[in-house]
Amino acid sequence: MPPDNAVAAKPWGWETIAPRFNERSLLSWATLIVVLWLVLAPVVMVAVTSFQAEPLAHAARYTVANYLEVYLDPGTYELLSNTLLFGAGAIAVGFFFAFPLAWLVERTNTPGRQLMYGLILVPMAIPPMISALGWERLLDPKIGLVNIVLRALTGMEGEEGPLDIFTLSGMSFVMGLSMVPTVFLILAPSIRNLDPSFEDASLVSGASWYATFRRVTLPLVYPAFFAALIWFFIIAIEAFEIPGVIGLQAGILVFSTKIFWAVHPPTGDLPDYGIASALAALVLVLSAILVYLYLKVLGAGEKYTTITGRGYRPSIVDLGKWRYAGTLFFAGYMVLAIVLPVIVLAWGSLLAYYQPPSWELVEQLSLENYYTTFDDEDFLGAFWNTGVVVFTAATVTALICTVAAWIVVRFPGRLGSVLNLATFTPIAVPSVIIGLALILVYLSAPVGIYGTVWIIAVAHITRYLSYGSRAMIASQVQIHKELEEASYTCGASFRMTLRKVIVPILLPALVSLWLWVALHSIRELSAAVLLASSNNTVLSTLIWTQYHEGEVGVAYALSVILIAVSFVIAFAGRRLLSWHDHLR
Amino acid sequence: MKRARNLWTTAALCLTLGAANALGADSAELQALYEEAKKEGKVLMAAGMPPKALRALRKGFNDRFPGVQAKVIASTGSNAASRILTESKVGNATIEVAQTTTASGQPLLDAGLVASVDYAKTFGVPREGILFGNRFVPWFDLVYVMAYNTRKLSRDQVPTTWEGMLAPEWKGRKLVLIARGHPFQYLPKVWGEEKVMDLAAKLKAQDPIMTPRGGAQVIEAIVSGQALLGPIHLNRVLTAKNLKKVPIDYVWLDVTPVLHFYSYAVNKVANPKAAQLMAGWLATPEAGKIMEKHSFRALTSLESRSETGKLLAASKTRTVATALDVKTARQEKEWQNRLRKIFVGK
Repeated sequence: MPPDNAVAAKPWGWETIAPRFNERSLLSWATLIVVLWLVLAPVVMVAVTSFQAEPLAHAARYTVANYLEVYLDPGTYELLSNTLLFGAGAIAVGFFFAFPLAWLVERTNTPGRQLMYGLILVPMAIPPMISALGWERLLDPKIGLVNIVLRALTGMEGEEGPLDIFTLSGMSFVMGLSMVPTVFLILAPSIRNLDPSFEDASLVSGASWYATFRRVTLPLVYPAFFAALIWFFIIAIEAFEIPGVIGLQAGILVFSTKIFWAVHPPTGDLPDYGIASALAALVLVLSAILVYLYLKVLGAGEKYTTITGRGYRPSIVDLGKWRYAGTLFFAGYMVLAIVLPVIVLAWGSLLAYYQPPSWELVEQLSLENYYTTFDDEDFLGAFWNTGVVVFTAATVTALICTVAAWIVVRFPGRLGSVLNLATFTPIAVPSVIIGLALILVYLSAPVGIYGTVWIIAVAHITRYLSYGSRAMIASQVQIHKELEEASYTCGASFRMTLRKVIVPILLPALVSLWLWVALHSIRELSAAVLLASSNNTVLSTLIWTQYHEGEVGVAYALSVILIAVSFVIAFAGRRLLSWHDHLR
Repeated sequence: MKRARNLWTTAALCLTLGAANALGADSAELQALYEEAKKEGKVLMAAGMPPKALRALRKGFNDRFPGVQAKVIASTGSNAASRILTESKVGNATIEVAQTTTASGQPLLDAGLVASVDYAKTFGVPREGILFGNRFVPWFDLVYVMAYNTRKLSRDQVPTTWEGMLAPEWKGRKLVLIARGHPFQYLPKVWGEEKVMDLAAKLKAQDPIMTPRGGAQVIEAIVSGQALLGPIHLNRVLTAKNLKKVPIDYVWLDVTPVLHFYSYAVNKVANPKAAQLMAGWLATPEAGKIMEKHSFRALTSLESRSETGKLLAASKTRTVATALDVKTARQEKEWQNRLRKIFVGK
């Protein structure tokens, strides 16, 4: 494609793109169609279902009763306030760890940074339900390992305490810890891509490191920071596993508990998708407001652009003697996020049922659960299926989100706005509703993926579009379009510009996104369970089945294997990034 | 000589008849159904039970009926029902055989999705247990007992009545209960609604551990020592107890809830005859033995001659069974909703 200087000179809106059927516009339209196809089904499903009296009945009646039942119930608002407190606490914990860690890993000479990047993603591999169970085993007032150790060390009397996981702060703590890798992945590319000349200028002007960090670094990562806040606010509303396992025992109910009861009625009755959808509609509306705010931030996006055609080279801050403090901070997080939960999981995997560690039990430890797992004919099939789903979901999501983000950032017209909204919307749709929509769509569509691993991959792609698009937009908003324009001016085609300019700059963010989707896809359960058939069992559904049918030790063993596999994926991803850095 | 020949003839006749009985005990209806099922060639069954039990049932069926390939997936009855309803709105359901209770199967009956099969005539299943016009055939029962941690409690310390859980020594996270209200919703049929709701409120005041899901978590809480005791299915306890050195045992309660589960064949499917063949076979003693061996689930009627049935009979406890009709099933749901609100709030 010839250089398109005219495009660079004009505002790139819908009107200017539509008439041109070049590679760029074809790519834009193709992306829009794919995204709308993925997103519209569950959204329409939520909208229609929320107005149905009996969604699963063959002749559904339309009504507003679901909305009246949900929003006239004072309990809904009581739960919302609990949810906001829970979410605020979780975000505070998540950002307390993630922001310093992202900065330490990306911009400092803290020893062991490569290893840190690989390890920090591993907590993501622990399914939230298993993580909550792990923390229950650690901080249960009676049998919690940490409490047992603290009681022994301090000589405390009694059989309980001093710590208690069954509190709102306990829930927020566990949720916050589970958020850290995602917050890290949102912030890390932005911090990595910061043009050091701004910080250098601040330092040369006599500002201290702290002042530079506060007045230069923080404002520059504002879009990524804001994106993370939006993301986690909604995640906190939708998250169920941790409030479900810990909160329900503590008698602390949150918004998602209500959705859970609607989808898993306590009477063992059919799911009430009408109520669940009416609740999901609130999340959709909240998301629309947040997207509006987000777009306003993007509208001012140019002021956050730090990678321009004038030269770009990430720099490393020398922390001097304080660099080991960074390593210690990281080690502290890792102990909380991985070491302690994995210890209790690994211990549990060596027993038929979990019992608190003691010398008396050592003689009962065996690898029986692992032998059972490896002898299980379903395990290899599930392992292979998981690989296919994870690779497909991560790769396709990364590709779609990269292109979509490029359109959103470079074409801030109607096309960009539609894509921005469309890619963000799935965050508000519970996985179970996505699964339900896919059943309806792909059973009737002549595509032939129903009952296969591909339908689970489609569910995951839809589910993770919102995170992927936020992450890629946050990264691309920092890249000035003059880089592309310079490439076109030099005679490069669109494809060459994509290959030689855009992709290399975006590669760290792309790999990070791939890793994030892979590590979430590997553990996703809600949609996978709903879409399960005899041919598409994945590891997460196998763990779920084993746990719920009483093979608890085997479920722990499978969790340990899942964590090990995820560690390999995370570490391989980091090696790829290091290799890219080395080439650059 | 003639006598000897007669003896040989009689013996040969007996052997032939015996073999015919063993091989050809199938009714003509069953043979006809099997032939039709063979033409379809496969069937998919969903049930909520341990994977090894599902695999054993699959193997048992495939060995019994060569030419009809069974596949299995793990799914609770309500999840399977909602999926069947959803799938059948746009085409054939992919789950062809599943488990259900009287209550959770109603929407399927209302939608006309359950096949009517003469299970008594075709499979020799006792006719009196079959419900709703030959649609739900008895498959297994779950029986509630009081499980306890044997390292923390001796058998004589464990309450043998429901009200025994109200004793002061069980206050403060000593008990574990299912937050959804199981199995208290069956008790009003014995004691009346208000007495059971009062019991639930007093139990809530005991500050028990409330588990959001089900049996596996109750067992884990008791084995780990997080809780000391709680009411749970006998098959879960027997599964745990069967493993080496797991500190769990059980006592019978004064009233024992018995939950009936049924199998059924979906009629809007690709393989309806194979589905009927499997749904009926699951209700036979042959399949029952396989299931009990691998999951301790079994029918508890005396005719079933299951180990669980024998244990229940020996316990001489008073039983209360789940609803056998729509009206009572709805009543149980209402009671359960009240109980859940008492246990976990709004």
